[in-house]
Amino acid sequence: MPIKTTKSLPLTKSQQLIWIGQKLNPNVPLYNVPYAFEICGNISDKAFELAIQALIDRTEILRTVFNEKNTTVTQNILSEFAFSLEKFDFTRNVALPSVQDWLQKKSEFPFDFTKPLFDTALLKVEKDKYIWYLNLHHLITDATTTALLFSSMANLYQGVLDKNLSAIPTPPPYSDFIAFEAKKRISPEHIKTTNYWKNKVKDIPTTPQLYGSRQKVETTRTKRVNLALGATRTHKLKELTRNPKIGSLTTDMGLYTLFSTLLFIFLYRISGQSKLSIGSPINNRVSRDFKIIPGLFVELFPLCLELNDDDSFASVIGKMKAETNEYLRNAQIGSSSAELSRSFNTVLNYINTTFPSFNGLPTKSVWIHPNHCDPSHQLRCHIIDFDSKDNLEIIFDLNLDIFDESEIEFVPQHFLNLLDALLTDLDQPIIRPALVTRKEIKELIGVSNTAETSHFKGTFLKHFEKTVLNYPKRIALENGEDLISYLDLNNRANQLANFLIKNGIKENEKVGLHLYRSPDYIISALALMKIGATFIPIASDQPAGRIGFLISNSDCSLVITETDLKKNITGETKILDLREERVRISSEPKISTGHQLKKSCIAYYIYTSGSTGMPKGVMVSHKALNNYLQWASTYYEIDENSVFPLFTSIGFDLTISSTFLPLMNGGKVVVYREGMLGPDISLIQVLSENKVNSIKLTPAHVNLMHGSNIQDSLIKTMIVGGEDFKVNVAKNIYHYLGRDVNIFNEYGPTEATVGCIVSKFKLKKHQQVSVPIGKVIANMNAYILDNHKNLVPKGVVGELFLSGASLAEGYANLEELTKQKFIDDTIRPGKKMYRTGDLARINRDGEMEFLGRNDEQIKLNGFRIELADIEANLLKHKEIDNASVVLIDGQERLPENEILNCAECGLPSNYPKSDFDDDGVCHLCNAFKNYKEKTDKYFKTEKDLQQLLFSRKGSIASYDCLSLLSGGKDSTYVLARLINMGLRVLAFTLDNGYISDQAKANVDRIVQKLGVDHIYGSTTHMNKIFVDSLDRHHNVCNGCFKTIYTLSTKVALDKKIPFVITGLSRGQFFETRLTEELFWNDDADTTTIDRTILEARKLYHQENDAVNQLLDVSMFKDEETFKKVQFVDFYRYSDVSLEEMLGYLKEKVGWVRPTDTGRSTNCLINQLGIYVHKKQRGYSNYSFPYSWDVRMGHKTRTETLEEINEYIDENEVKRIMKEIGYVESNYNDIKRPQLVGYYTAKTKIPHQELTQHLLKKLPSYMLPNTFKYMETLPLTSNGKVDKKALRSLNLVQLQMDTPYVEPKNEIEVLLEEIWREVLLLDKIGMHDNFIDLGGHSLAAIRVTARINEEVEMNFPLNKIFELPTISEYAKYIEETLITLMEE
Amino acid sequence: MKESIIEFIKNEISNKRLETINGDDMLFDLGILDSLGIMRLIGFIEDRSQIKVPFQDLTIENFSTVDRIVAYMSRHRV
Repeated sequence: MPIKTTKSLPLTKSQQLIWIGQKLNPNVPLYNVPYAFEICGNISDKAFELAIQALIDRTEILRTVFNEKNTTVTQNILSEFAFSLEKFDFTRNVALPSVQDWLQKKSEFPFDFTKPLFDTALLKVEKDKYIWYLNLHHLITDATTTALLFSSMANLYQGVLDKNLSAIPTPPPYSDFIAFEAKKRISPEHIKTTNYWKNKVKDIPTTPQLYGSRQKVETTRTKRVNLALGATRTHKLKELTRNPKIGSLTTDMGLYTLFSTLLFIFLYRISGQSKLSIGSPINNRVSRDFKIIPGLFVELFPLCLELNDDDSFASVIGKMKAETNEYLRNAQIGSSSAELSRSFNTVLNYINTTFPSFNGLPTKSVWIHPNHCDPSHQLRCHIIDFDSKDNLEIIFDLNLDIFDESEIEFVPQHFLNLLDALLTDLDQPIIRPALVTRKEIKELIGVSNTAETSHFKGTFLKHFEKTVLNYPKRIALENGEDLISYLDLNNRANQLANFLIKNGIKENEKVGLHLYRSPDYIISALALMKIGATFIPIASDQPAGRIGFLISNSDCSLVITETDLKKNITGETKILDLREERVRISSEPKISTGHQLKKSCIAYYIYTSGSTGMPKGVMVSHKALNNYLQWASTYYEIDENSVFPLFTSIGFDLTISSTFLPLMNGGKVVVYREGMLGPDISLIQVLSENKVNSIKLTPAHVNLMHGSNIQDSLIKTMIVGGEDFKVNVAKNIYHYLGRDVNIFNEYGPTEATVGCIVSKFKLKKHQQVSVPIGKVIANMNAYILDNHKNLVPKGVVGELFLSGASLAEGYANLEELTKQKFIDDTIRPGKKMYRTGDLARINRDGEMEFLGRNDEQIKLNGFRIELADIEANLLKHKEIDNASVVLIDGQERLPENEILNCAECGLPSNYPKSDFDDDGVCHLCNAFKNYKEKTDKYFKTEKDLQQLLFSRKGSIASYDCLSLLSGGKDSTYVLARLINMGLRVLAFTLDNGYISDQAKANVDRIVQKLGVDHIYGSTTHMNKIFVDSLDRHHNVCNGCFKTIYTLSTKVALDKKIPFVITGLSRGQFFETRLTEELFWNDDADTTTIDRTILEARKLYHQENDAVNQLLDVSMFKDEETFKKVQFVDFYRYSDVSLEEMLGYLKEKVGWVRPTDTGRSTNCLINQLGIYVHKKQRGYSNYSFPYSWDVRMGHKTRTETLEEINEYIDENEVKRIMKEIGYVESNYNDIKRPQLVGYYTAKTKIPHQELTQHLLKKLPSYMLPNTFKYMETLPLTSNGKVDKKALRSLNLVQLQMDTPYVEPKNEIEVLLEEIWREVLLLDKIGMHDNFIDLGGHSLAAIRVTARINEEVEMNFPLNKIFELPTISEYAKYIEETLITLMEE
Repeated sequence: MKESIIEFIKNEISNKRLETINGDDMLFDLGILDSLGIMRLIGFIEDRSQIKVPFQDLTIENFSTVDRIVAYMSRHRV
């Protein structure tokens, strides 16, 4: 008989989401909600079965089936469903498994969706003790439903017993809610709320990495752990909800606030992520009817919070309350979505339902875990008190892909530690309470501690001397042909030691070793050890300035050096030239000095680069050195057969291994002396000679090895250190060298003596991007701590601190810095620990992983980003060989109130590369003082002008000159003076469309009053020219000027007028014509200067801009034009003061200052240019020319400041922008810091492809804005990627299509320096285009002048436009020089 | 206002069906309202007055009884 069903009903939003989740994981019981209600008392099977049937009859959801047709799913309600209850008697049936096993197995049984989605049974487990097993699929249930069914069942059971079933009411049907929900979803407010939620999660970067787990979740398997809080804690928590700081309306709401706060803090602490989202169900039972309908009502919505280290528990509670309020207001029925769910991987489920008793029979209720969960819920946290015994319990469901055994064990503990901290002190910082348990501390330190039992005895020297006794004849050093035995080496060291004593060198004195890699270096170091003095290795290639600094900073009393290098040492420090003193030294006795070396003596200082720019000397004691060397000898199995090359810089602590490890064990050092010039190619020599079986080197070296022929290499032990060691580099070399090579990754800052954490590379095990740094060495401890110096749990990223026997004594003569970096050991009080600044974590294998520098963890738009993370993912791209990501600061903008103005000229301090002295005077003023006199001769008198203009008078033309008249005071004065001279003048005004009415009236009045012929020039392209000028120069004036010059030249040519007179101020000369370089040359005469300016003017008219494209510029192609029409700057010949000028104008011309521009100008569009320039560059485009006006004495500083700080009418500016069609760029883009990904590969990879590649693995906020293809990454002298160099490219350069290439030879270096100074940039690639970098004709003058000065040549100005890259220009210079030399 | 609040609670949001609600009945302690109920009540108040209730004001002092709610509203009437 077919069972009647209702019509097909749709699924609610919540049901849809569950349905999809189930479809993705078919046949997995991830949504089973099974309960075991233990009932104490006698239960009648029969009555119970009747009651179940009555429950089914009265409850729609227990008769609901789901059908999927095509892609549509519907639910159908069966009109009736006959059910026979399964009953099991565990007290009699011995064949049954244990109750627990039975329940568990039953709970994991997947449902058939074509049948009602519930399963139930009655179990007799003891006499008078039953278990009612009830399992419903989540599609039809939620926590309230279970409680409703439980109490209905109790009533119905009683009804059966009392035979009055019919009196028990039936709850309203679930289909009521389905209809209600469907209606809600088409209501107008639905759009509002769904938008609210969409916006809400947009800000959430990604789901947090719980315990640093980067695992992709595949399994649905989860482990449930319970944490009973106990009566005391429960009581305290409930008390706390009444605290005014919590201020909750109900205990439940208060507890919800507390637990959500705790869960957020917990996530923050175990992931390090600031912006977090947690999913939390809202029960949606908004009406009284809905409160009693069984069925799925709950819906998941996200709670979002941003936490940081400054938060206290109380402050998070505050944020939480606000957030909860927003959540409750917006969690509207039906507005959840899969998109919202993707913002979280953690769910908080505060369940306040209870199952108090079954009709008076005491019950105990257990929610059985079916061992599976929605895999997107990596962590679920349920708060329950089912039996309402005032005993809260937390249930954690932990996904097994994310949490390993030990984490599962510790999660509840960690949470509890936070909870107890919350109960202790609400106002404490959230990062203060320790997370890890005592057991873990032991383990965490245990992981990183190879037992402190192995205190190494003696010193390196002692062991060396013992080796000398054991192997006197063995070869210790091989230096080319020269073989030195242990005995010989020791004798020579003794002789030098005796010599030094004789020359007054005592214990603890510092002695610099400025030597090549040579036996002398080793002998000297040994000799100094033998007298207890400290050696300071100073490599041969160090610049003199640094050598001087090292010597003075370390208080060297002597520098041991050799003849070739002696010249590098300046100052008064005593010098010992080993070659000079050879005879005297070798006449010293070969016996020991008898000095007893103390372990506390400082063995050496090694200088490392400091963030301040000054190197700092790390002081390493013999104790520390011995600890490293003894450990390394054992660990790397160094013995008398070990042969190391000495081929790296002696100033680099990595070299300590190559030098002293073999000598301690009777092995051999093969010395590779560095070349005198050029890059050190010793590694290639090491490889080609193939004499060594062990090598200490950097990953960069390993990369270099790859290119060499090393198939037959003898190298069996390779110790890699100094930089992050990538797995692919390790893999390559491993395959290349053959399988029996041992590759070690050794980590350690100089401050902890060469290396203190080590791992052996294992091909199978090490599959991540970098080889782990491994475990800590003997007698050392490594702690990974958070910002509060708490040990972080396993997996979590923290900063690495080091403590133990290898620690250096601090920095030479830098007490403050020493105190900052060598701080009290918080884990083992009484000791010191060194703050490495490196980020690390312990992986699942218990090995430490290096994750970049702490300062490389940057914050961008509020997101915490590990640059190393982006790098690692870039490296996964198959074509990328190497990658480095940096954050380039946006253009730094001084806040307006912090801008200074030069005390003399008023130049603002935010002018690029400006430099103010102690008196507040700018570099331009100071420099000008040195060449002011020379500029004087450029300027002439009005008499000279008269002479010049009259020289061509009387030509056929009807005018003697064309005077450019803007209507402003300067040009009006020019015109008046010219007429006064008796010249026939044609006045020319460009009507750019924005001359103010009053200015126009001025112009008309002036020309009338002066009785002069006047024409207006104009072009229909003016607006395009403005826009182009704004794009190129961030002002309008440049475009306007060029238009004037172009149009007026044309007029002058047509009318055969020989001169065009400009009214440029002297200050403007320095903006457009003059540069200081023109005056460098002592014998620079005005003719030369004029010729250069004319050349520049020709180039200026060739520059390809809007004027060139839109106006007729054909005449400039004809050289004759520049002869026919000469440009004359009036103010070159006139030194009139402003006062004098204004007086003259008032009296003779009747010039009135226009008032309708709102500014001191006659042009309305001018302020738009100033506005844009200020926005783009931070200062007015008039700042620079006006500063020159002041320097020239044509303006006062006060006038300048007034004018450059004049009010700008923004509304008017915006209106004009619209008018001319200028689209403002987003000025914030300039200010915003940008992530830049540099990479090397065979060819450039399209931006789009890289973005796509990274998006698969990274959230979008971690995507670099720009990718820059490089031929090689720049390296520091120690072989590490030079991030500082990478940071100094500017945005324009980054967008250029050319790969950034560093200068490779002297000429390129020189050119780069010149370009940088002129173009005001920090770094220029060899293939960057001069014009693209903002180079124009004036810059060409400057660059060319400087080049000519440096190489003593006379290259023409236009060369730079012909050869617009440094690479090309350098090649040209080189070829020219070679040709000259050959001649 | 008091009457309309009581009516709204009785008809729409109280957890259980109630005959009467007194002005001084403790809405939460007596289990009349839950968190969803209070949010609906606030929505009701905000809709019918110019008041916007900030979350900081959601305290026992302001919202535990109908009388207190009315008092709160009269304090914040615009």
